[in-house]
Amino acid sequence: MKDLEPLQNSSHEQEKIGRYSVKRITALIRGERTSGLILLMILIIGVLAFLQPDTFFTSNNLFNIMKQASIVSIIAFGQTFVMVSGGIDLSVGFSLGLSGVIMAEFIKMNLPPGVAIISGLLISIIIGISNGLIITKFKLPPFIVTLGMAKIARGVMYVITRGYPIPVRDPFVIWIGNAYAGPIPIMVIVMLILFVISAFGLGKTVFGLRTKAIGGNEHAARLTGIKVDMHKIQIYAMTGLLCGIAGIILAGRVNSGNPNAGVNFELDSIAAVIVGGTAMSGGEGTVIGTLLGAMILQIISNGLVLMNVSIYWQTIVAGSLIIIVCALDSFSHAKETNAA
Amino acid sequence: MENIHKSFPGVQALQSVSFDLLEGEVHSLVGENGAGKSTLMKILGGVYFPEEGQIFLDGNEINFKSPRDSMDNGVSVIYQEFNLVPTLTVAENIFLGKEYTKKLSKELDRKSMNRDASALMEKLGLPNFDCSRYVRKLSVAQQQMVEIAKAVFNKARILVMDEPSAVLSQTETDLLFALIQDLKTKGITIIYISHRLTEVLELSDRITVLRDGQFVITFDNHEKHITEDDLVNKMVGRDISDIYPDRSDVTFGEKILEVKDISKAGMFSHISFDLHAGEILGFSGLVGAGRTEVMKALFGSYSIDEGEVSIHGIPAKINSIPAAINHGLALVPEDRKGEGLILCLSMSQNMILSGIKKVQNFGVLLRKSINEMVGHYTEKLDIRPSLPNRKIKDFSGGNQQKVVIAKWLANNPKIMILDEPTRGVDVGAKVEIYKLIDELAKSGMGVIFVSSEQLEILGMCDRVFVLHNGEISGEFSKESATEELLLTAAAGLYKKKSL
Repeated sequence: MKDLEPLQNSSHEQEKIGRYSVKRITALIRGERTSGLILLMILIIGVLAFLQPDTFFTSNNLFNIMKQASIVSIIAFGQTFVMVSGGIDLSVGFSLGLSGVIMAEFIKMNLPPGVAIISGLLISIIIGISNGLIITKFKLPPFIVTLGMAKIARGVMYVITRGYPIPVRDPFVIWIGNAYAGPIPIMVIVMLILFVISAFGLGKTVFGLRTKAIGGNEHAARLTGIKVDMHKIQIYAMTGLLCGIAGIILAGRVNSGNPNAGVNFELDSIAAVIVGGTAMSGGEGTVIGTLLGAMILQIISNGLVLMNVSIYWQTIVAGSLIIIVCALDSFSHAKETNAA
Repeated sequence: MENIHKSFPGVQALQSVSFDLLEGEVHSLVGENGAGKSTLMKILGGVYFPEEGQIFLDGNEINFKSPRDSMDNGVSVIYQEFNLVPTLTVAENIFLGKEYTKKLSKELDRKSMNRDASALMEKLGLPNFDCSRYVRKLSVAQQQMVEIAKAVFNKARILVMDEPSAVLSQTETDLLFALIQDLKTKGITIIYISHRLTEVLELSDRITVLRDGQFVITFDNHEKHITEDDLVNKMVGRDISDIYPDRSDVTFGEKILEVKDISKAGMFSHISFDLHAGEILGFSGLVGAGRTEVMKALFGSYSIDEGEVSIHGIPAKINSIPAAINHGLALVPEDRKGEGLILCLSMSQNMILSGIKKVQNFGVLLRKSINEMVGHYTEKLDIRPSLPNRKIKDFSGGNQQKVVIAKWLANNPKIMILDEPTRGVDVGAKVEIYKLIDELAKSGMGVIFVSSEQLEILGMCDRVFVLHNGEISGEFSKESATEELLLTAAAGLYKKKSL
């Protein structure tokens, strides 16, 4: 918004505020995704608060929405890095499930809970590193590698559990999935901490800039001296770690290591990232966008539940929303490109 | 075309440009980058619509509503990036949209398409051209022929070619010119857009010069007495008496790079040369002679099979790009947009990528240091406009190239390799880049300057090596080198090694 120069001879506070909102509005018209998403979210919240004043707009329900969106948000943060770097990770859901299952199994085997949790996290990191190694060393498309890895992780889960959930009674794990600090669920706090770290990582660090560079033009990034392979492995490993954390939290929330946990999470996380404005082709994207994307999808689903809309219709609405948001964005981008 | 206006937000791309074509002439369009050539042609091709002005075809006013529409009216445009589908065959591409089908089954009639396509290619001087091949397997020159065939099949009366020779070797260019002459005799009008003025002068009947979106002059070149200087003067709007910097009294420092007998199977063999501090060493030759490959190998992008590279007299093992950078090398690659820049990032983000260690603390980018670094190089290299947050793709070619150079300067390299640094850059920016390269060398850097343009090599370099088929086919000092000698050596016909 550099080109929106302040008007001359104006020192009134009032005018300043006026100009600030003008900037905001021009940003929206120009297709600035984050502000657009915030506006969209406020709009949806407004509509729902109007339609369901008693049930929707309560702090209880709002924290509930955040809680429900937390797990997908956490893995979507990782997915954002992957997609900004030009890749995709279809193994996140099963990586998450496996970390919970491994942890539950180790606790069941009477290993110390700390060891079990770290093992759960490690298995997800290993899945991530394997993804990265195979993608970079064999030069295979991430879609294929992570799809295969998802199947493998799923298979391992069923081998371990034979399809049945393994109960978890460790107090720490249950605490992290269910407890509240005042009105705020612990898992929401964990999610927000991870959000701040991820957003900072992508927006303000060398690592983040290199991620964008690789997604924007891998070949040029390599010729600039960026160790592209190593960087990609780190991204997938980091995504693995986030899946592991999400897996432990989810296991705490449902009191078990469930082999069916995380089904469809890869698609939900991708949806959040895409709605959040990350380009499918890589190079551009923000973590705040992803968080807003995840929240919007969750708010809509929550609102529809409160309005007693059937779950099948909810899916249809969510699907349409993804397409509409991206179509609007593509439309404003097409305008920009035509203008250039 | 009369009084064509076209503006984009913030830019008046074309202002009252008028332009006329006669049947069966070769009419060239020249001008610096951003002069409006491409915009004008996209209007003719039905991609953009003019805000004011009219287009007349055979005296009747006409509006092209879409690329298809203008094609149906006999205008075919061959863009720099071809409009071919790589996964289809030659015949399928030529007949795309007008495929032959069998009467009953509606099945594609590949046999007839291949036959007619081959006949078409034969008419264009390519007998026995197998039209069932996939386009992606063809060379660039062959793909261009397919584009021309497609235009001829679509009964083009006006054929627009945007920088057709930029990707061709000398022989291929000669073939293209012969074909253009042939099309001309068939009554087809050619609009030829090129940065290569020698070609333009050789080929054109008339030449129109555009500058800053405005019509400047149309030269009549039937007598071929227009000179390159005439064109350049009109293009830049001022006299360029000295394009190249004065390097008559330069002194060299110690030997910083020595390359001994390096080879890489299938790319180059037995390449040896040395480079001194403060020297500009030229590498001339045809496209595909192995120059780019040698440079990429030096830069650690390819491994070498044998031979030795020493830097400051110490043998250096350069097996990766980071290793090359650590040894003080920098490479400004040939393909600016594909290899030099990350188009979706901003100017400042591109500029800091190489010297990123200087603007961070524990991995966190420091806004203040970034602003300092970017401000410093923006001013030093006179990068315009000085909007660090603007996306690099919205800068002109010359300024983009300056950003690529600035990116490396932040790393304090000792050896700067520039591969075709002025390709696709307008005349004014070329002069600035020449000056910049001269300054880098004078500051003690060793510069390797790779170019396909002999004049540029002769103007800039203190010594020249010529490559042919992956081998050094000639070495010349500044005094002994001539355009003729460089061309002879590039063709592999220069035998006597002299210095």
